[in-house]
Amino acid sequence: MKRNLIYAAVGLFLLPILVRGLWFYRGWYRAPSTLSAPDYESFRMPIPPTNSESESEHSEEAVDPDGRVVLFDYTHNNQFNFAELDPFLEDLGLRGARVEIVQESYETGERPLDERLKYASAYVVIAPQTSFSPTTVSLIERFVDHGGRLLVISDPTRNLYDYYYEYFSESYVSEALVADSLLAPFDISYANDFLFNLIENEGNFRHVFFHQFAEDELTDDLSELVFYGARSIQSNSGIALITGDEQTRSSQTSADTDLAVAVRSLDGGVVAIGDFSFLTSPYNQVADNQIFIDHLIDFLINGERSVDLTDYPYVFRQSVALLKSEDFDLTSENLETITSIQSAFNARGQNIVFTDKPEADADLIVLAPFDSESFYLEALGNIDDLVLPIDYSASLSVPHYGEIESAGIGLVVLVQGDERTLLFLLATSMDDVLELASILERDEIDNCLIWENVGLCKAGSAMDYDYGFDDYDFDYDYDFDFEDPFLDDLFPEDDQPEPTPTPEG
Amino acid sequence: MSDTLPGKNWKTSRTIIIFLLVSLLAGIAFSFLIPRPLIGIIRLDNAIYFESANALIQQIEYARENSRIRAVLLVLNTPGGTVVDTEAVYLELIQLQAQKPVVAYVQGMAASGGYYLSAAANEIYSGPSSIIGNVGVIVTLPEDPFIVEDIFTTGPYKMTGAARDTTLREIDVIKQGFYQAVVSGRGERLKLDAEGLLSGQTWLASEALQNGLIDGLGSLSEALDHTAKLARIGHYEAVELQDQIYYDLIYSYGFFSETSEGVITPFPNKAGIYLLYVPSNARRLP
Repeated sequence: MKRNLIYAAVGLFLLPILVRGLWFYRGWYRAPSTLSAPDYESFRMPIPPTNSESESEHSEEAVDPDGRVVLFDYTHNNQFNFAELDPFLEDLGLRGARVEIVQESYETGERPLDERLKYASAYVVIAPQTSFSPTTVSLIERFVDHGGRLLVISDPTRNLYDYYYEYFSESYVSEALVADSLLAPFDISYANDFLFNLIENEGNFRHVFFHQFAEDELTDDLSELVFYGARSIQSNSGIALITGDEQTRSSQTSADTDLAVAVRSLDGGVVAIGDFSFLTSPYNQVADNQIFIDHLIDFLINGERSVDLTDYPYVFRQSVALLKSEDFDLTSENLETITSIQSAFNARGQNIVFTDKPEADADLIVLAPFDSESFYLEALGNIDDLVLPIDYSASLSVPHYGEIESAGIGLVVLVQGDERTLLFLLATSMDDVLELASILERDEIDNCLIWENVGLCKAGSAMDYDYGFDDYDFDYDYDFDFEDPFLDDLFPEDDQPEPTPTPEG
Repeated sequence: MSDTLPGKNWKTSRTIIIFLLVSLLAGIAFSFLIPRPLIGIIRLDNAIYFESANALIQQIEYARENSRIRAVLLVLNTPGGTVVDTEAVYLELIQLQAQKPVVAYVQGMAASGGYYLSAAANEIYSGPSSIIGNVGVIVTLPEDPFIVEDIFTTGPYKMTGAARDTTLREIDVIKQGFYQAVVSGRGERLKLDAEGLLSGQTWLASEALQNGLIDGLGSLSEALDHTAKLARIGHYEAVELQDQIYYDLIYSYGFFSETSEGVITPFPNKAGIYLLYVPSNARRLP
């Protein structure tokens, strides 16, 4: 009885404790066994891949004696400085190329782009920020058509951020869009994006490895490239030289596509690359980047640049001889023209001599009247449809233009032989030839009508012919068969003004 | 025949009843010694930096040492902050979680370092339109090493701390830690692969739920109930732990930079490595 009573008392004592305990607490917390802090000690910094270029067969090639000229555009607010390009420029120099920076000519007094493109073998445009004018695009398009090489480099890290253009607002200019204005004629365009790879990268998601290469001289011996901030490029007709793997994505779309970061145009004259950093130190020494740079240098200096008359005065490949033929009498009057030509050539760094016995390997400028019997004029025999007049009154037959009156016409013909280049300056008289020469000396060949390697210029006047009698002996006859194409255009025959009456009526 | 006096019986019964009643009352009295369980609420409505992290750590320590606090609800509205302070708070939360359940509730934003902290929680809940994720590291690279004429150092990186390239690779190490923290914290609930998680994307809470970054959507009180369930307690009381600690503000400076006009920007006021979400349109301030 007593025991039961004690049990009951204990039970009653515990009951409220139990009730309250269960009211609040229904069990014990068990910590999850899986949760643990990261093993920070095990993490390691990614190490860049070493330069895989073995014996540098590319960078130690013999110096090219031709000294090809590579132009670097610096007229479009280009977002780089040349110190960054030092390794690349040094490599170009080692390969015999001469680098010229194209700056605003009105600022520097240097030659304008159109003149430089006449002698350059390549034009390099990096991260431009101001648009290319249609004129410039046409010039470069023509440059590429003539075998010049165009390298365009865009880089997503080189966009211009103009933070405080307006207070607390941001002005953003994508240089990809600017570069597109230049590349449009070549069916190449940049995407306004950046590429990344979150799974396999070189230390950062935007440092992308590339292992897929098209078969091309530019991608020979490449097994791995690393671009440190690249954008993708599209082209329907061009060759995608370098493309990302499956895990390489564009910031614009996550769709799996073979994103190209380097494209070569169909004709091979234009290469567009979506990264600039790989040209700079230390990134040029990573993986096969240096090999790719060497290939790019080959691309820039090994183009087959064709030259035609529009490239005058940069049509000569060696020292130039201004031929003193038997038709030419050096006098005090024409000496000025000769010395001016010489000065103009020297100013451009071209050697020229005035001689009647040119060296066998010298390029020639031949000054001669149409009816000259100079031996060198035989070279013109190879030009189809070119027939020189045999006297003052005969007409001249010129390719593309047909027969034209020779009076007052200067003919410029460029003949490119295997061993030498000949430039003929021909007109009806030697005085007109010298006038024609002065046009060239002033670099005014653009004022001439040019078709391929034949140019027609106005030299002398149709009225200046020496017909063997004096003006006062001449009884003007308005039926005189004189045709001036310019006057004819202005005043058709029916509308010819009445001649001014003379005192004789 | 035993004759029992009615009076004696009553007396005996009365004694028994009193005895039992006293026992019951003693039990009731003793039961009041069982404390009502508490859920400690730790709020972070700021960036994670020296001051806010110290306050958080003090609250976590208080929760760990106070046996009445059976669980902690971490209420987050933060874009993240410095790496060292985020990691420090994270490691304290991991220790706390070994003893008591920790639940995170996102009330606005748990981005970057904010999500790093929530990865230390047993479960994560969120308001429907909160911003979650932004897993990754952001750094302003140091200047290229340079020398000047009138300052001499004993090493090339004495003035810059490291080469730019080294700094860039260092943040990958920090990223690995962040990634491991999320993978470890979320376990099999995480439906994103490494590529998706490390993209740095922010998600709306509803998307984050689909991706396994959080466990549910709801209100703060629902999150408290979930916390209580994890702690296996009922009829709890929620207490704000920031009211329980004394925090001496030795330094008082903000994390974000301010313009000369007093406008607070989303950028930290000094360069460094951060687990921080900076909105891409941040420069377009009203």
